[in-house]
Amino acid sequence: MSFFNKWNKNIAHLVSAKGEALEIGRTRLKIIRSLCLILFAFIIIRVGDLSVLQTPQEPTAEYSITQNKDVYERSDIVDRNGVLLATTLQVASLYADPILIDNKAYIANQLEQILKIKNIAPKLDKKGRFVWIKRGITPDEHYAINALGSPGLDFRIETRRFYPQGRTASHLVGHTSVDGKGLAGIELEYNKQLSKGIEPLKLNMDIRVQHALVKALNKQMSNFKAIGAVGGVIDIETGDVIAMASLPDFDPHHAGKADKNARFNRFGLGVYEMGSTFKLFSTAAYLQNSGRGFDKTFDAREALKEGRFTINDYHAEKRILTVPEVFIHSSNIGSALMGRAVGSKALKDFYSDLGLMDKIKTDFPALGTPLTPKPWRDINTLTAAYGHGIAVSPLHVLRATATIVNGGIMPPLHFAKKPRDINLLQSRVLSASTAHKMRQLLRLNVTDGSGKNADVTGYMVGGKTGTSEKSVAGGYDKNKLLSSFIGVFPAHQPKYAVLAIIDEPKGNKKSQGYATGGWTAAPVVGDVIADMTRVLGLSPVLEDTNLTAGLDRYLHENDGNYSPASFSR
Amino acid sequence: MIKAMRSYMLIIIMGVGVIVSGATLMVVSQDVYDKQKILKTMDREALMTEWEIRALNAELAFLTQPERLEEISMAMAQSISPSSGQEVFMISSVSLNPYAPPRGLSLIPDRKPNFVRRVSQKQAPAPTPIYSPTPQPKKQVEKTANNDFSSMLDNIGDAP
Repeated sequence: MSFFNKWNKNIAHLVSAKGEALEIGRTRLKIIRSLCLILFAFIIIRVGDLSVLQTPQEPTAEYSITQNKDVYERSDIVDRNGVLLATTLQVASLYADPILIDNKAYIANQLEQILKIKNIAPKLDKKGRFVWIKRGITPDEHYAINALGSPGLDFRIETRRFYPQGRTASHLVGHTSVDGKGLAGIELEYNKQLSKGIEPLKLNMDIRVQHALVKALNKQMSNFKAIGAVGGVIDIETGDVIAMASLPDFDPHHAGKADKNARFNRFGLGVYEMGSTFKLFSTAAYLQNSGRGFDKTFDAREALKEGRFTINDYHAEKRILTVPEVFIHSSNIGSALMGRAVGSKALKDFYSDLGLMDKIKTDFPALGTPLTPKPWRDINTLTAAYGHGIAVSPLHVLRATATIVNGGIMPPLHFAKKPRDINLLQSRVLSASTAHKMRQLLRLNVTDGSGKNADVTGYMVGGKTGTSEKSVAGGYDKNKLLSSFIGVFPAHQPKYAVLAIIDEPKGNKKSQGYATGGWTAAPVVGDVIADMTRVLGLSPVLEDTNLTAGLDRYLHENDGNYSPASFSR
Repeated sequence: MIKAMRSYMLIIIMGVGVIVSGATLMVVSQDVYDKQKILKTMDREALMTEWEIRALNAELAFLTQPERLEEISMAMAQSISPSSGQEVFMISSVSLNPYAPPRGLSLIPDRKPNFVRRVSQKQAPAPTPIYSPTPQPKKQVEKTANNDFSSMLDNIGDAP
C-alpha cells in the first residue's frame, strides 16, 4: 500500500469520526434548544397567568381585619339644616385566644382593671381559641389593652349607631338594633334607604325648634307634675313636620333598657279625646255648612239634655252666646248646638274631609288610628262637637288645624325632605271665607279669650285651648285631665302650627289650682313661638287690626262675676 | 460556523424576542401589581379617614347641641357687664312702639303682651329702674357625664 493510500484511508477515517461527533453535537443542541423552548414557554405561560388571568390581591390575612359581618354601612340622618342626628361609628371589640396567653392570671387582672369588669379569668381558662372579652370598648381602653402587648388579645372592628343629639329627638329619629336594623321612628321607616349607606337622609325637622319644644314641655311637665307631654310644630303651607316631641322620652343608645311608658310615642301612636280644641273643627263645620256669619246665637242659659245625657259648660256664661262668644268662652252647650245645627252626616263628613276619621298616611311608622263612635248616634254629634267621644292623634289635630287656616287646603305631611309634587291635586275642604273667619276667631281667642298665655308680641298668635277629662272604666275621671293648646302664627297669614298637650297636669299655686289648657299648654306654645322667632329669624308683623276689629259687636259683657283665670277650659 | 449560525438565526431572534417580551411583560405586570397595592392601601386609608371624619362630625354635633349652646351662651351673657347704652332707668325712655327695640338692646319677643299699651293707658308706674346694672354672679357650665363626648362614646358600645 502506497503512502497516499494510507493517508487517504486515515483522512477518510478522521472525516467519518468528525461527522459522527458533529452529529452527536447537533442532537445535543436540539435537546438543549427544546428544553430552552419548553422553559421559555413555561415562563411565558406563567407570566401571562400572573399578569392577565390572575387578579392581583393581597394576602388573606391583611383582609381578615375588615371582613367582618358586624361592620355595616348605614346612612347618616340630618335635620333640615344638615345638623347630624344619627351616624354610624366604628368601635373595637376585644376577644382573646387563650392558647396564646402565657400569664393568664396577670392578663386577667390587668383587663379587669382596664375594662372595669369582673370574672375575666374564667374566660381565659376556656379551651377554645376564641372568646369575647368585651364588645364595644372605648378608644382609651383600646389603647391600654394594646399597651399590654399580649399576642392572645385581639380586636374586631364593629359599628354602632350614635345619636349626637341624645334624647332630644329620640321618638322622631328612632333607634336601631345591634346589627343596624331600624326598630322605630325614621330609622324604621327609612330602613331600606338608610341600609344602602349612600347619602344622608335629610329630615324636615329643625333641631333648634325641636329643642325649644322639648324644653318648654319639660318645664310645664315639671311645673304641673304631669305624667307626660306631647308637642308638635308643622309648616302649614308645605306640611313639613318641623318638630315632634313625646315625653317622657328615652336615651336612644339604651332604648332596650327604657321602660314601656318612655318608649311609647304619644305623638304618633297616642289617640286622645282632645276636648275643646275640637271646637275649632265643629265651629268651622258650622260656619261652612250654615253659610251664616257670626251673628247666629245659641242659648247657653241652661244645660242641654239629650236622652240620658246632660251637657254642661265648665264655666257657664248662662246667657245667649254668639258664635265668637261660644268659641272664646269655650261653651260646650253652644258647640253641641252648633253640631246639632250642622247635622250628624254633615259633621261626620266634614271631620272625614279634615282627615280626622282615618289613619294618617305619611312617612312615619306606627301612627294611631282614630277612635270614632260606631254606630254614630245623634248624641255623638253633640259630644263630638266639643271634642268628646272621638279620639285622634296629635298629628291629626295639627293637620286639621293647618287645613282650616290654610284656606281649606290640606297640606301633605312629610317627616323627610322630599321634592314637592307640583302635580299633587289638593282638594279644598272649606271655603276661603270660612278659613278667614276661623283665623279671626283663633286670634280673638288669644287676645280676648282663653289663650292669652300663648301670645307673643309682634307675632299675632291665634289658637284654641282644650281640656278634657280622661276616660276611665265606667266614665270620666275629673282628676285626670288632658290639657291642650293648638296655636297658629301669624294669625292673618299663618305659617306655622304649634300643638302642646300636657297629660294629667295638677294645678299649682301660680295657676290658682287650675290645670286647664290655658294655664298649662298655652304657655308652652307661647314659649316655643318666642324661641322659633329667634332661631328662625322671623320678623315681627304689624298687628293686623282688621283681622278682629269687626268682631267687637259680637262680644257682650257678662253680668255675673267670674275670674279670668277660670275660663281656660 | 457563520453558516451554522445563519441557520439558527431565526431561533436565536425568536428566543431573544421571547426573553425581552417576557421580561417586559413581567416588569409591567409587577408595576401594575404594585400600583394596585398602593391603590388598595390608599383606599383603606381613605376609608379610615372617612370613619375619623364621621367621629369628628359626631363630636361636633354633640358639642353644638342646642341645649349645650344655650347653657354656654347664658353663662357668657351673665359674665359680660352691661354697657351704658344697655342701661334703661326710666320707663318713659322705652319706646311706645312695641316693635322698636330700646337702643342697644336686641329685639326679643315680649312674652307679656300689651305691656306697653297698659302702661300708656293706665297710671304710669313709679320711675324705677327696669334693668339692674348689678353684675350677676358668673354661671359656670357644669361638666357632667352627659355633656362630655367621651362619656357619650363610652356608652354607645352598649347597644340596645
